[in-house]
Amino acid sequence: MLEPLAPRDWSIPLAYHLLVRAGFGGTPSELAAFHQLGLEAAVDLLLSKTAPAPLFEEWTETESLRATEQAARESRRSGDIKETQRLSIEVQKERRRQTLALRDAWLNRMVTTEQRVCEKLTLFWHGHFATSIQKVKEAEWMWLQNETFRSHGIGTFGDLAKAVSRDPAMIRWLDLERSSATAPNENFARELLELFTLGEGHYSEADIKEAARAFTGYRTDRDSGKFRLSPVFHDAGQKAFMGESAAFDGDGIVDVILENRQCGRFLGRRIWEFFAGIEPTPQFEKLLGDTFKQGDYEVRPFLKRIFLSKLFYSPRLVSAQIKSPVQWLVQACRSLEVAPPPPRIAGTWLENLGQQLFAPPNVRGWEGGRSWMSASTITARANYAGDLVGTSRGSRPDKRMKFWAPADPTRWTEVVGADGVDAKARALAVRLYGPLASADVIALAESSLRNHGTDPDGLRSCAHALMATPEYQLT
Amino acid sequence: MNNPSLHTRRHFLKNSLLGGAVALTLPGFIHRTFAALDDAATGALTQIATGKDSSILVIIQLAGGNDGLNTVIPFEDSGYFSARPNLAIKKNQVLTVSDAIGLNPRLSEFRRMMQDGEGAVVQGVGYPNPNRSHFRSMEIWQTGMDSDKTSTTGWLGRYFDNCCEGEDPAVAVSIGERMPQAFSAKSPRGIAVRNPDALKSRVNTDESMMGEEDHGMDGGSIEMLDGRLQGGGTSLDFIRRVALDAEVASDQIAKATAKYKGGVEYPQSGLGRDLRFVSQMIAGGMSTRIYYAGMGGFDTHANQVTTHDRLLGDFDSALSAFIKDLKEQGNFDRVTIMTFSEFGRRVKENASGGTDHGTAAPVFLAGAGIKPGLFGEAPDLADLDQGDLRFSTDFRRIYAGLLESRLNVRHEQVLGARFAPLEVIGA
Repeated sequence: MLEPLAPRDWSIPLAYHLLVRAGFGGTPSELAAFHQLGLEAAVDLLLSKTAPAPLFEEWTETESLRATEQAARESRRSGDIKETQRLSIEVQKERRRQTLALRDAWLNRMVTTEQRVCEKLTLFWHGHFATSIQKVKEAEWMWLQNETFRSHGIGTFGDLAKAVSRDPAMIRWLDLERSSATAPNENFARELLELFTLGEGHYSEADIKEAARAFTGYRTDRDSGKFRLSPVFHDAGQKAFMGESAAFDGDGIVDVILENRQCGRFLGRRIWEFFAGIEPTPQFEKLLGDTFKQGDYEVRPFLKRIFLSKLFYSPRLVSAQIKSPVQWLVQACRSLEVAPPPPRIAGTWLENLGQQLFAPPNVRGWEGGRSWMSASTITARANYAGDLVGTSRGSRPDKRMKFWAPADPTRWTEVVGADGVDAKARALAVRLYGPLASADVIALAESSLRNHGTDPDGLRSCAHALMATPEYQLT
Repeated sequence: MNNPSLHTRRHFLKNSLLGGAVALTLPGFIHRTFAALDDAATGALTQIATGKDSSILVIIQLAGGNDGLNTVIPFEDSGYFSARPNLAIKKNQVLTVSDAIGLNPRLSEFRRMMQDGEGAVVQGVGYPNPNRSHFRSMEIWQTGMDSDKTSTTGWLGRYFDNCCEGEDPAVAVSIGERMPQAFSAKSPRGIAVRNPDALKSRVNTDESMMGEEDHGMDGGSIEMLDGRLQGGGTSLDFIRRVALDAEVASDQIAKATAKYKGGVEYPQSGLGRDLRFVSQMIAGGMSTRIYYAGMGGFDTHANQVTTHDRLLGDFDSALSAFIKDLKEQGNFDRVTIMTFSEFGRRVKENASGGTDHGTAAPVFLAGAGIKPGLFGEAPDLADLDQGDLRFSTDFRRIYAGLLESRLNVRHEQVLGARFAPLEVIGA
């Protein structure tokens, strides 16, 4: 079922499918170049081994934040209520500012990166090991976790899982920082088994308790954000976990889990669904899982099998995935050749559309699929699309958008021979829907351009109409 | 002929959110759209037929785990004061509602409601084998399942599945972007909407793209949708359906809220704004049976006092404005309000001036059909389960009471088991 696609079947529409699913799409000229490479080289390019640069070289903001926090504590101790309040507000403001900066950096990275799969995987792992700044509070720690996903996300799952167990944001998020030999906290151990590796029903409550003991003493140095294992709080005794008995530490527990083929199946299924957008049959799930496990949980070759497979390009899968809000926004920015909106606006949009970065609703992550679409979110998508294309015809566009460099609509139809209305309509439809844009979509574009003209405002209007359809919500 | 579906159709053509989409897949899309729309319009009619005067349930979720012990205070219990040397509310500050129980001083309006015979508190509400995870416990409350069972449907969703005919999307309205899990159903209904403007489209509609309105639309060549879209159908069918629900509901909400001339002033808080929106919809005669609103911030692990006081104050003033508004509209006798939180908090305060996740907590009820006063047993602070309160009233007894007395349905049908409906809710 993972038979490869015949190289002769590689086509521009399939290249488009790969580009939007493995990444966030692109412009028609990017697509043309991508298609030119041929299937194998295109996939290799996507899975390039060049390590992506971190979002920031370092996080310099924490020190001053700590100083303000310290001042607030001292002021509280001295009973100066007014000053305490002022400083507390200062701390909150600073935290908000840092969160915005982090979100902005990641969103811009997704819109501009050449290492598309790494970013898409970073988003996948963010949803898988779903951690929220709402509880973690420290933007720096959320950033560190994000970099772990970026650097390990395409490597082996075992390394990633171990890195995540030592991750400061995760340690706080699932209460490892309070877990000790005398009082093991089961929160992380439970989610490790239930949500991160095996899935419900594939472990016992006793396994959770034993695993929790192994992860005791996992601590983060508050100032440096560095992991350390506290021998005082760690339980170094024998643990009986999933039929094996040893003085496991956390890594040892992860190793036992990795031997379980359910782990391959659980992860294989999650990865397949994220990229393919459909559920695997039980038989195919087994095949995916065993392939992933036998490949030592290496993500890169596993994705290569998927991206080269005939099944990944089957018609029932193409243009059938509901875009996540992040996919919707990033893909739109990339295809319209426009920067993401200013941080506060992007934040409002993604919040209202149901996918705020660094703030998944809970440890299960985003439910995805059809849950992205509600009466509110579909209306909001249509309205925000207007802001993004810069149409001035709609009432009440978001005024904060004026500080942002809008797209240049003349670029949208800059293709060879795109002079007449029909050619421009086709060019715009293909830019937004891909080479398989239906005749109906193209007719809609033509009708809009005839009514509104092909000047920049007309093009904006047309793009807005194209982005407000039910069809546009799919990729 | 007064044909509401025709009117809705015209409106849809003129003002479609997805105006482009109508032209886009003509005629296929338009036929399927109107097949669904006819259902929706019929649904709206049957809803209204079953009663513009029928009862309405407003659910207010207090997210994060409301500290029940500092909300409904056992001021005669020395255990309360010894467990909470810093957080306990002094006996002389509580608003007494019985000789041993008082409300948080911020709940003065709610106490007045209790005195006026409009409000009730159910104490010690929870469920067996309590779960202290926000998500899981919230899921238990929303699905109405035992704590060791999961369900893909919510308790209100099962009410829609079993008891609501028609396809009116606005039978249930959640204030916000997302549908609560309680609405999950085999045939999901309901819409999520943040405010009266959230469903207003800024898409430039262009009538010339719509063709002749009503041309051939009354004919019988309408394809039926293949059942409910959530159950089957393609993703595209599903999105079209959601868009259509948005359109239909947008129209209803715009009309309903335009009629509202309420003079009651609401507090500036989020809940105040949301309840004002709910009251507008009720005043405007929406066919909605269930409204769902919420406020967050109750997860007070640290520095609880200021936060909790502010939250309860917001809740109290927003609820009292809402009740006053309902009375002025003449809808007070139709509306029953229930609050809930996923759990209460630990009896003993922690080292950070806060409280950790706990178990049982009080539920507030107000409005139509409520017998006033204190119900359920106050939790016994001398008999704790690992530092947490033992529940005395299963939350599903309250659901059962609401289902039986306010929504006129056998509760077993919805809850899947028998629970003695709590006597606090009358007919």
